[in-house]
Amino acid sequence: MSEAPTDTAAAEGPARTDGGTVTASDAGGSGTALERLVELSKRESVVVIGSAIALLALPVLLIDVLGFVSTLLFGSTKLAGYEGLSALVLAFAIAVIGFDILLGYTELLSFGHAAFFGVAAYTAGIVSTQVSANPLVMVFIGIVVTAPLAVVIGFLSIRRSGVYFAVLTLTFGQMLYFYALGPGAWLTGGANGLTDLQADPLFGFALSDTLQDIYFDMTGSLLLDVPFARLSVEYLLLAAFTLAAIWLAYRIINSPYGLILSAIGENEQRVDFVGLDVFRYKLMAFVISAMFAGAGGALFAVHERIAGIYPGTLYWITSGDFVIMAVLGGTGSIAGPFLGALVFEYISNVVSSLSFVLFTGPLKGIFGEFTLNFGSIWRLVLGGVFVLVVAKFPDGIRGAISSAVEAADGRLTGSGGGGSAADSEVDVDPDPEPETDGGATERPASRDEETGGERR
Amino acid sequence: MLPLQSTLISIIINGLQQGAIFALLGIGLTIVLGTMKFLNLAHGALYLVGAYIGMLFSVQRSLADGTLYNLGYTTVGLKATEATVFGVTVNLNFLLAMVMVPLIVFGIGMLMERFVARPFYDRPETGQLLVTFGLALVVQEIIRALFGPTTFQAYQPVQGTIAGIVSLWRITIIGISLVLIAATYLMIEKTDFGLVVRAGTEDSEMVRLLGIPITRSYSLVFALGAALAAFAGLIGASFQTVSPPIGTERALVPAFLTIVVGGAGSVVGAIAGGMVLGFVFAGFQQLAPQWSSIVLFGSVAVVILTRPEGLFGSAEVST
Amino acid sequence: MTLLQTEGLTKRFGGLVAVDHVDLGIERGETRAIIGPNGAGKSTCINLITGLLEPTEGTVTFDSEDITHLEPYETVQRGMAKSFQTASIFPSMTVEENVKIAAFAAEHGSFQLNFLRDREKFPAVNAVVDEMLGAVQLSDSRDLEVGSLPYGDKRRLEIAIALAAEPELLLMDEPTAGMSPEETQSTVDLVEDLQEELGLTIVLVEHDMEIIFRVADRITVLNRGSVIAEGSPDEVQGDPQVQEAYLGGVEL
Repeated sequence: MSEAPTDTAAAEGPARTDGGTVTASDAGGSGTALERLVELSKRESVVVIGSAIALLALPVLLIDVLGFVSTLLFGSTKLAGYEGLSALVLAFAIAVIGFDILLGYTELLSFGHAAFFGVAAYTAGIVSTQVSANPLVMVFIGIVVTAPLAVVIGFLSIRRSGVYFAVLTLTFGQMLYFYALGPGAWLTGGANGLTDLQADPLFGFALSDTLQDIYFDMTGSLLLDVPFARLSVEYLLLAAFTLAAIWLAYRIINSPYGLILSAIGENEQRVDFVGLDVFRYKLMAFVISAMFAGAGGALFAVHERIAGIYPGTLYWITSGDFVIMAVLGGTGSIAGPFLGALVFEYISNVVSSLSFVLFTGPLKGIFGEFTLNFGSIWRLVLGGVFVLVVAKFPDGIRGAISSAVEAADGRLTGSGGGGSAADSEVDVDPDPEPETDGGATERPASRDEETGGERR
Repeated sequence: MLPLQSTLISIIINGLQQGAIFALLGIGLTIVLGTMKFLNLAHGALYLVGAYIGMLFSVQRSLADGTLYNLGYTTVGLKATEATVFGVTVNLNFLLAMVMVPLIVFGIGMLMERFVARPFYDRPETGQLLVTFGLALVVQEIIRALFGPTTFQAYQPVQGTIAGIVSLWRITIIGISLVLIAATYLMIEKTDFGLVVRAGTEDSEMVRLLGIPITRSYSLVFALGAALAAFAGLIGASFQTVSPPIGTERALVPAFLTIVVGGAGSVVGAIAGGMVLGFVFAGFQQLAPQWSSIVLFGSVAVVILTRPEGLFGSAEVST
Repeated sequence: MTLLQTEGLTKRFGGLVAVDHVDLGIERGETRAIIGPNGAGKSTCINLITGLLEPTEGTVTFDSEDITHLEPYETVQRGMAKSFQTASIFPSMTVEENVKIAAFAAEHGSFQLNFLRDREKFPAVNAVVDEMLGAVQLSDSRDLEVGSLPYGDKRRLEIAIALAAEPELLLMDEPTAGMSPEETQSTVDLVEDLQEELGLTIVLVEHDMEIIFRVADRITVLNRGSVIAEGSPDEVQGDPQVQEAYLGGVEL
């Protein structure tokens, strides 16, 4: 009954897009400008180029733009990010993009992905001291190591579903954590961490060199002091990997896997009954997501080479952070995980050290003065927002943004958006937030944004 | 005493004590999972709340961090009221705590059921896991925000040992826990309420059709589970440190491990599973502490994979 | 030529015998109806055949191959498809996507490593989708989200999904349950089309006797897990045991 898969990749078939997901039918026509923009944003080339631009713009946004806003409001740059923050965001974004393939599509909730993140980080670190400090080698080996680990953990965990799956993944993660902390300390440095990491220059450029430095070395003159010139080689390395991750995720989501995994997430038994090997597909999703986490972890190690790698990277809290980032940002897309990582890392690293003295001026007389220290409550606020998102906003930040954009578009064009029976895909974000176009990356489920993104 | 004998005694005592705590936690989780098919990742948070409230009732602690500290409070908690009974110093506040903690958390449990659990009964599993995970996080962070991340030392309401080897308090705890476990078991097996719980575990649909107001029972079941977890926390705080992460580390994970081994939905299973895991853990703690956690987790993984319904469970709860 | 055969098929759940030594022999091209009062074991039987349940005893043979211990997806790949009692579909996807998943399984087998290829670029798969949608008259609705379809359309989609696998044998579990008379009629028409145009072998679990009389060649009657009668519709109708099983002479 099944033929050999010899379908050509020729641009045959319905003339929809050259690479996007199922979109509004051709008959529907153009509709509003927003809809046309959305259609465009699903094309592979647009996604890749758009992401590249966003990635390059991210540090500028976090440091310069926020710095400006911060100075305007508070007279200091305390709201702004810092040099290493963008790199952190990317490392986690890669991990969460992969994690979301497992959670947002296949609906498997793993509380043990820190295992892959941490193992890759430690591996990259150990490779740097024992084998080669070439960053590419470090990352490559880090990723490769996660594959067999994921096959084993996945094979064992997927045999059970639901909470047992979650508990099993948590279990394996914790086993690795305790091993790294105790019996494995000869390898990992135990509680003291792995600290003698190094990273050689990449293609002859030291990782900490900025573009400005390189230009100076080559020409002897200073580049214009534009923010762009401040990007470091290390950041560009991470950005390159992030771009690759985004592209890979895009490809996966638009492949038969995207459809099949979503179907498994929605009605596993039916997928079984159409003749697909659900277990193997789940395992593939698990391994793919684990390797993304591994990539993030290995790159994290490169970034943290000076500070060192600690058992916390394997800890259940880190696994939980992935869950929070994915859900907060909005599952079932690429933009969502990226946003989630961005917001989480920003709050965790910047907001957490903020404190405000309240109240000043006339309000002081009424409410008195006390110090609002975010350091002790940011996780609480984050947790509260998380619960809110789970309960009321299943599509997270990304969903909230799309709904807002849509509403605005509806008001501007005076229409309810698009005519025909074909609902248009909505999820692009034309605003300059440093994230990728979310459109082409929707799981089919989030189609019905207009009704508030209720996926279930 | 010979080292072997004292080691053995240690293992037995610690095993019983640890097992009792695991059992209490497991019972609370299993009745909720069995009756409402609800996966409560916030179960550990209830242990945490019990630990802190219990600590506050029993002893006075000095604060160094957190919002309460920032508001000017340098100490929290009741001052210990000591009395001497049979030559042994006893902190009477603990008796107060033993009553108040379950009571307070029982109420919290009812609220939690009404506002967090109930809206999610019909939502897919993932939603239940996520919302209770979020709740656990929020509770943990509220505690951390109020009291700071400080690790508070254990306090023992009863000082002294038997023959210099076995701590009096541990014996007392084991005694109290076993009584509580027995009482819970009897209630589940012998009373009407228990009957509803057991029937609900078997077939909640049928119970509803029989006209029994099961929603009210749900609240009680949830609240009971919460109270048991809180009591476990109260006890745990008396010989282990108290800090925000213990909810997940020392309570949630062991609770799930216990019901996996014992069988989801089975009270007897929770007791048996708790005891087994307690002994395994205590044994390794004594002999190879670095491996104790690893073995604990590993053995649970083995159970999930080979006999997913556990020792006493029915295959009814989804695998 | 016997396409599907069960021998001594038995399933026990603890002390309860749900299916008791059931022997079935279904010929190629035949339409067989399985009827019986509630709890007779009809659904369990189907589940044993598809592989969702493991038999306690007995064998299932399909096209001369022993499929007793195969998983459902394996039996489907061998040419047996099932349409579910309640429309078991993917509610948040479009009609087209629903069928496409089945088409992928049909064209590519149970597993592929094609996670980097655009899923719109498989002409054979697209062709199957178009064909199936046409066959159940849902082509116009292809881009609609399935959750918003009327129930009758969902059931037809259900059948389209089952047919996409190009099965030799179609198991239909109460296909007209909960349908209005018009919907029932169109389902019956559809079944008749399947019989004539595709020559499908069909096993039908049904309660509605009128339908059975219209489409079934033979009927197997189950009660309490065992076969109590088997034969042509007329033969079965007149069988006193069958009448008794349905609570004493209810008009068939």
